[in-house]
Amino acid sequence: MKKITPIILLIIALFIPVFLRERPSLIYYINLSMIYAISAQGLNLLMGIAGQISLGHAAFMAIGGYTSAILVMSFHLPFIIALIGGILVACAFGVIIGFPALRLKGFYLAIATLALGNVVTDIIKRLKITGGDYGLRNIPPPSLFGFELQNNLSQFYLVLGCLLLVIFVTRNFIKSKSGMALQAMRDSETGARAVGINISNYKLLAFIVASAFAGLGGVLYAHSVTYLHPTNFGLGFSIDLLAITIIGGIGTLWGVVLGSFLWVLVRNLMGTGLEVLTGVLFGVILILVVLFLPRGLSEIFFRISNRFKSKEVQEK
Amino acid sequence: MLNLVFRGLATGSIYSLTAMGIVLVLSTTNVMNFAQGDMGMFLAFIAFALIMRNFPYPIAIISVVVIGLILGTLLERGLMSKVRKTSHLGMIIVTLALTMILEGLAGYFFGTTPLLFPPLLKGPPIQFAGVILDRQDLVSLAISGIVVLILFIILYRTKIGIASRSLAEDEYGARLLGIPIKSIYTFIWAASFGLAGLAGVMVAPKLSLEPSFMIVIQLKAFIAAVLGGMSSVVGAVVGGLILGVLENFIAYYIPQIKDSFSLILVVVVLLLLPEGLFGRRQARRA
Amino acid sequence: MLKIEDLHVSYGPIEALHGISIELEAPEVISILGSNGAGKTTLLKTISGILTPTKGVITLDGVVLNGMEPSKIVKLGVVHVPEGRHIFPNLTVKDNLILGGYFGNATQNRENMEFVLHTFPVLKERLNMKAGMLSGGELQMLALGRGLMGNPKLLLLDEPSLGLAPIITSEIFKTVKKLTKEKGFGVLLVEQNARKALDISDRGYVLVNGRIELSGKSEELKENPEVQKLYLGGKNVKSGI
Ligand SMILES: Nc1ncnc2c1ncn2[C@@H]1O[C@H](COP(=O)(O)OP(=O)(O)OP(=O)(O)O)[C@@H](O)[C@H]1O
Ligand SMILES: [Mg+2]
Repeated sequence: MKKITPIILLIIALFIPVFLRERPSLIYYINLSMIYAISAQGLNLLMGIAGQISLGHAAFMAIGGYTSAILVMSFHLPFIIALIGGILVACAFGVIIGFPALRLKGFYLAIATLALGNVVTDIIKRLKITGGDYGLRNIPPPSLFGFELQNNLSQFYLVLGCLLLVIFVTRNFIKSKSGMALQAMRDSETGARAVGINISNYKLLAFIVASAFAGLGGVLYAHSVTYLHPTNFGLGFSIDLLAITIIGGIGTLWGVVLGSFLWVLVRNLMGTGLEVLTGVLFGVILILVVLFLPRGLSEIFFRISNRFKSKEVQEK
Repeated sequence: MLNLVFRGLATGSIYSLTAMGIVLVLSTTNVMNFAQGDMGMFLAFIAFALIMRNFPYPIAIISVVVIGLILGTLLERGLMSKVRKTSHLGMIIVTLALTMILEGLAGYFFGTTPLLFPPLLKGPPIQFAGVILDRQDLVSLAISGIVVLILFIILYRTKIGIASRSLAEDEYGARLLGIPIKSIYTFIWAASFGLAGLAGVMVAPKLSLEPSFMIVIQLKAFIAAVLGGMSSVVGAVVGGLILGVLENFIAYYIPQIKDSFSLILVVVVLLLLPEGLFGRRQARRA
Repeated sequence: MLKIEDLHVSYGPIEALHGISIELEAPEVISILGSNGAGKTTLLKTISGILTPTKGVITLDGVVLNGMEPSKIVKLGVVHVPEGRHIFPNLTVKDNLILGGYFGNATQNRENMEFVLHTFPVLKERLNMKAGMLSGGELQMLALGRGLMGNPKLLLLDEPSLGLAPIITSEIFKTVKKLTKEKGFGVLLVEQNARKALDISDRGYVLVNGRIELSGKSEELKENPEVQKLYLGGKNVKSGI
């Protein structure tokens, strides 16, 4: 039972686009949700596993997205190289920023990441190669092995693949020695120190992996939305990513997927003129989650699946 | 030169007003309040609506401060008191959620196109000793001065103020003394949102009124709070003034880095001087 | 004055006090003796309203205390000076004392402050210093002084000797005894330092695993072989005072 469920879900996922052939825009939104999930997973790792709060996560998406877009547009490199480049540059910034920032605790780290995130968008605004305040337009779609993934449908499989990869990496990270050490540290920093765990290295590692996820999300965002502007990656978006993580279920594996789909759904359910209310609705949901569902929406699923399990047991 | 200093002080006083609210909450409840700026934004919109309906300025300001007090009370009674029991991070998340809600509501009711908030005092700038200052700047300087004085007296000279400071240090100790903790938390949130209203009305005439106009100020206020050591409202005010003056000098002499300057400054200060510029040492735990 | 009957207190599913009955008539000092984890602190926390009992009644002059908010209980004159003192380190000595008189009116507080500074002259010298700078003995005096600011009818002292040099402990205990006579309040003194506690108390209770095993006049308890073996370190050890 435990092994079959994910496989069934995967098969359903693979066939989603087939059902939605007639509604390409819907597929676009699904792609967008998955891209948010990929990026938010980094934050989830950072907050849920390492217990660090970041308010500059969107800046890493910007770094990944801009790098990849520039590599493709200005240097005419193939997409796959640009994708790796985007992730690596995001990682590099993760090291540069994480190295000093991780010496800070709690809300000091929050302020530092908030400030550094702003520095990144400020710099993007000032550079020529990034299109400055005008933004980058007409970013070419991703291409793999000589095939251009022109439409949303083909991009769907690329994004889905990336999402599954990110979830797989997260799962292994949580179970790895570093993941265990981080969770020990999150629960009691002094305790972990006492056992001789070198906290800062693990924190840095978590920060780099989180940056890589955001970078990957940024790359996919750039090439599927085809348009980048620095103001889109400011504090507001960082908070959205945070909300997605918490609403989905902080510290859970699949929570960010739930959170992201809900976010995109809420945003697009709002009729025209009401988009401004997305934040209101999402803010309210966030508060409700804080009040009633400490493990986020995933908790509802846990409860349902537990009920099923207990039923099975009863039937036996 | 002197002009740069004074203009810097005027800008700084605006940061100080928001920073005081942030530090007030942080130093007593240990909650980083990300909604301080946006509460100011929301209340500034309400003040604007009142002024457009021909209410006199003082009435608009007082109403907005009172609304702030009420909203702060409601937040503590309705939400924070419940979240406090479950998780500390939860309280910070609630303030983040509030920013989403307030910005959304402001956008919905007042639109996202920038509006012009009329200055509090009309008339030409004032000149003295080679310094040129807008009347608005004088008002915000004066108000910051008055507010910090009042807050200082409350926090250091009244029982409720001293009790507020004790809460952040040792809630259990305060409970044993019979200090009515719920009322104190309510007082703190009410006071900080009242302050937010004042800050919003002071900032709005200098910038244009739109749902996101306080975000920059909030960021600067955080920086001011960090410079001031995060634990005293007086520190926050001084931090704000210093930041304002430094920024003005940077903007004048090295304009290329004026946007990022304060952001980099705060990271450097956080890393090198985690207790703020004045290095006020915390007494050891008894 | 204080009457505790059949008190049961639990932490979650685990019961820490299993039916305790104690009476105190001011001015009287009562020691509660017991080893680590016996439930002494739990008892005091329950009297001051931090914990609520699962069963039993606590009354002060006929008023039922259990179920009341701590702040109400303080107003009735039950002042708890906690284990570990819980002084506010970044507040000045003066501010710490002021908070002790949170409910008093201005004149009362001024008189109490004078009295406290007269009783503990060291505090007068340190009045505007941050409390975190005080030495252990000074901190305990501050904790006591802060308690006195609340006009106690009943003072709950939880291990005031903790971490103090023997001489200082003796000095503080003497002061407590003196104050009881002067002010006429009752003291419930929780101690591991049984000898010194019994020296100043009128009666004592011995708490073992959440139950009262022994009680009686302090002199009698001092002579009790069981108490001597467990808490007084043998018959031939002489008192430090
Ligand atoms: N917060 C708590 N949660 C669960 N159990 C507790 C808690 N506090 C105390 N206990 C348990 O209740 C029992 C009594 O503890 P209490 O602190 O009252 O002992 P004590 O006599 O004051 O000990 P000490 O001399 O060490 O201060 C102990 O078994 C302790 O483990
Ligand atoms: Mg104890």
